[in-house]
Amino acid sequence: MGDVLVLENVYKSFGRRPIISDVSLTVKEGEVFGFLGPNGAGKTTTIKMILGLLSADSGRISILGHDIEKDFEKAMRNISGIVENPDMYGHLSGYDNLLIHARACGAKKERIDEVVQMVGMQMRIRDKFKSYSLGMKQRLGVAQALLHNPKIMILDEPTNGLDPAGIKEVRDLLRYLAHSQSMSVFVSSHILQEMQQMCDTVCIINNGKIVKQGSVDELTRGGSAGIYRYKLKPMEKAVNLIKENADVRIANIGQDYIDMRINEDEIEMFNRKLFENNIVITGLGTIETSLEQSYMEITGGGNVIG
Amino acid sequence: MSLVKRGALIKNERLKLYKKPSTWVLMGVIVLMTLLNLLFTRIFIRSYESFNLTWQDQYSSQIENMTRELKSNPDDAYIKQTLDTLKFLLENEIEPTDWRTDVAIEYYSIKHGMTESEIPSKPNTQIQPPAGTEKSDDEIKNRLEKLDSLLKNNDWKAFVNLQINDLKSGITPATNEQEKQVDIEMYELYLERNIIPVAQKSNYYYHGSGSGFDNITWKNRQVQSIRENKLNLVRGETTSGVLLTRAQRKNIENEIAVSLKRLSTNTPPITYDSFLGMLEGTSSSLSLLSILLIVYAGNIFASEYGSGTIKLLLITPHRRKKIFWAKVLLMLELTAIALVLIFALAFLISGAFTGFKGIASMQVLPLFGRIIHMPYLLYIALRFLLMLLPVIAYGALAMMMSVVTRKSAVAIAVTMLIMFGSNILMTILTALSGRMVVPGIKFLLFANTQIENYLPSAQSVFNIGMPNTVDATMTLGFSLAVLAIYAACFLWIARDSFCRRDVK
Repeated sequence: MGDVLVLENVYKSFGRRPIISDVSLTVKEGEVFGFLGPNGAGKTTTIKMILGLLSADSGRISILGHDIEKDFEKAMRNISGIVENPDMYGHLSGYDNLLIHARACGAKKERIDEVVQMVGMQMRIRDKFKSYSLGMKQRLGVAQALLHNPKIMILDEPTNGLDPAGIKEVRDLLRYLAHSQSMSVFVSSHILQEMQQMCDTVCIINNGKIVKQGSVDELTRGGSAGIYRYKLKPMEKAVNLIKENADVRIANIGQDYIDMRINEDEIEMFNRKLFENNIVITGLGTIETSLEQSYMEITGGGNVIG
Repeated sequence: MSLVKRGALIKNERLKLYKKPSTWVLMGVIVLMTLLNLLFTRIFIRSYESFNLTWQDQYSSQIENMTRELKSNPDDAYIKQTLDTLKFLLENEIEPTDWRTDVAIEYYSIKHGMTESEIPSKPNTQIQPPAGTEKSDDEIKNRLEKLDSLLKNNDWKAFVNLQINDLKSGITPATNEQEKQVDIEMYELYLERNIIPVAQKSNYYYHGSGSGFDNITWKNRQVQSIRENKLNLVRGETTSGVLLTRAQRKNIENEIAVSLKRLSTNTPPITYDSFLGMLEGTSSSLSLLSILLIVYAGNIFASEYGSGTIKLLLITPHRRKKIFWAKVLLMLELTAIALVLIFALAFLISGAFTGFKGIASMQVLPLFGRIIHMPYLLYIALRFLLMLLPVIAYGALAMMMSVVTRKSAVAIAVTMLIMFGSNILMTILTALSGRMVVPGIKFLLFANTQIENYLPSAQSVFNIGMPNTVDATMTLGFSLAVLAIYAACFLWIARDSFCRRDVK
């Protein structure tokens, strides 16, 4: 699989305030790439730089090997995107809005009908854009981004304001595009669950710096600990035993459960230890995956590993 | 692999602008205002023409007055002379503008024993004839016979020759040789161009304008204006006594050349109420067009920023400068559409009023140092195009504001403020320009926007020759160059800002 989008040591500041420092990332062909970070982490700024709306202070951004500064037109021919909101011309119909974009990108007219079909907007496509609901605007935005068959599609918070059914629809569409049409999809979000369900690769950004990057499987399984809820029998004996041997790993002790901060590959060993001490495991469940754990650490919402 | 067709960007801009109802509403308002302007002018002309006594009525009432006055002053030579003259003119149906009026006045003045200096209607009556030129009885008799034969034979050439002789022999006094020469040249021009002269302007019996003076042929007007201009040049001052500047001198020389060219090519000036005159008058509405352009140009970039669609626009595979020029082109196109609409409708409406009379008339004007003879319709087209340049300059200013401020309201308001504010300022400075000229002011945009001041027009019969500019040294070419440079600078700044600045 080739690299579709490459960012190398990108810096950007507004005035004296640095917004993005030393961001490097690679999006491969046919993958859904999640760009995860809390509000104000620099997601939209990065996306705007990728789409050429902002110019980077230093570093290199290239799309299919075309530098976006030097070879803007060639680079842009392979990319599409929605930044912030799917803003279009309110006084024009959905169809006219697509027509404008199709002409600008050199897509054929027949393609408009195809993408309209794809997002299920046939019934309302002749209505004015301003009369659409947010969900319809989002769908039209995706249709617009699909018009010229780009190699990579950049979507800034595509599920924002959608109902659960809408979110699922978007998720399925994006996975279909990436895996069946081998189009790369770059999605930003501040909601982790969404990313986990949708993405192949995730990159976590905070305060303009990349904190973690890797495939969802890797990160979930990887070195850092998740939190698992054990229901044990006899409870008191178990709690005492764990307190003696692995106090730092305890995340929380409840009425009839204990939350443990352990790595996925440590689970087997931990379970055997409990068994050896005649403690029966009556229930075991995931509270937070490791990815969630790291994300909460970053965003300041979770416990800090001691 | 260029899938993008040429002209795609401009097509998009068109779709965006022309599907906006407000675009057409505003354009409709502007066009309508232009046409209303035309209609009002027309109605005004009509009502203006409708009160005028005929010359016969005026003469008759004068005779009544004079007869009454004669009863109280039975020996007044002037009253007797006037009565006889008026009766003679009425009997022979000699119109107030007929050259024979002059002859009749002189004839009856001499007959009633008035001295040379008392005779009205002579060109230089204010100058006393040199002492010792009292005429003998023989001379008087001779003179009366000559005048009588002129009246009887209705021979204008003989009349003109007599005038030349009078000047040369000193019977008609002159201030100096040069002015005398000017007068002689005038009469020679009458002979040369075969123009029947009119009665001199000091015709005390007729107080009409309009219909009566329409009978003065345009050729006579040209000859008179040449004389007046030549006298101004000889005296080095205007008729109102203001010293001539070098630029004014040049203007007067141009005007003489235009008059001569008119006579030699037989090109009458058109009147303001003729078909072409009305059509030409519409060009004054082009300032309305700048309002239209300012509103659109102020919007064209700012609205994209305002609605967030700028992002959509800029992530297409086109360099920003191409998008910029597409928008500039669209603005030009819109101006052209409005211009063509205004011109076409004005053409039809003024044609409907006047039956397209005189559509093939010609125009003579000084342009870039040469006297040019061209079809009037072409001249009107040229006039429209030249007057479009300030409109475009303001449009470019609005466009720059639109890019720099990214707010339509601010861009439009600031540009309008600059336009109207500077117009008032310039009117004041122009009024003062006779006394003082602010140095360097002619390089300002606003000092150069009144292109119509350089172009002759059938409407502006009142300010012949003297362009109303803040600095008399300014010329048409200068103003056009200044406007073009400003427009180019505004566009360059707008382009640079648009291509460089981040979209936050």
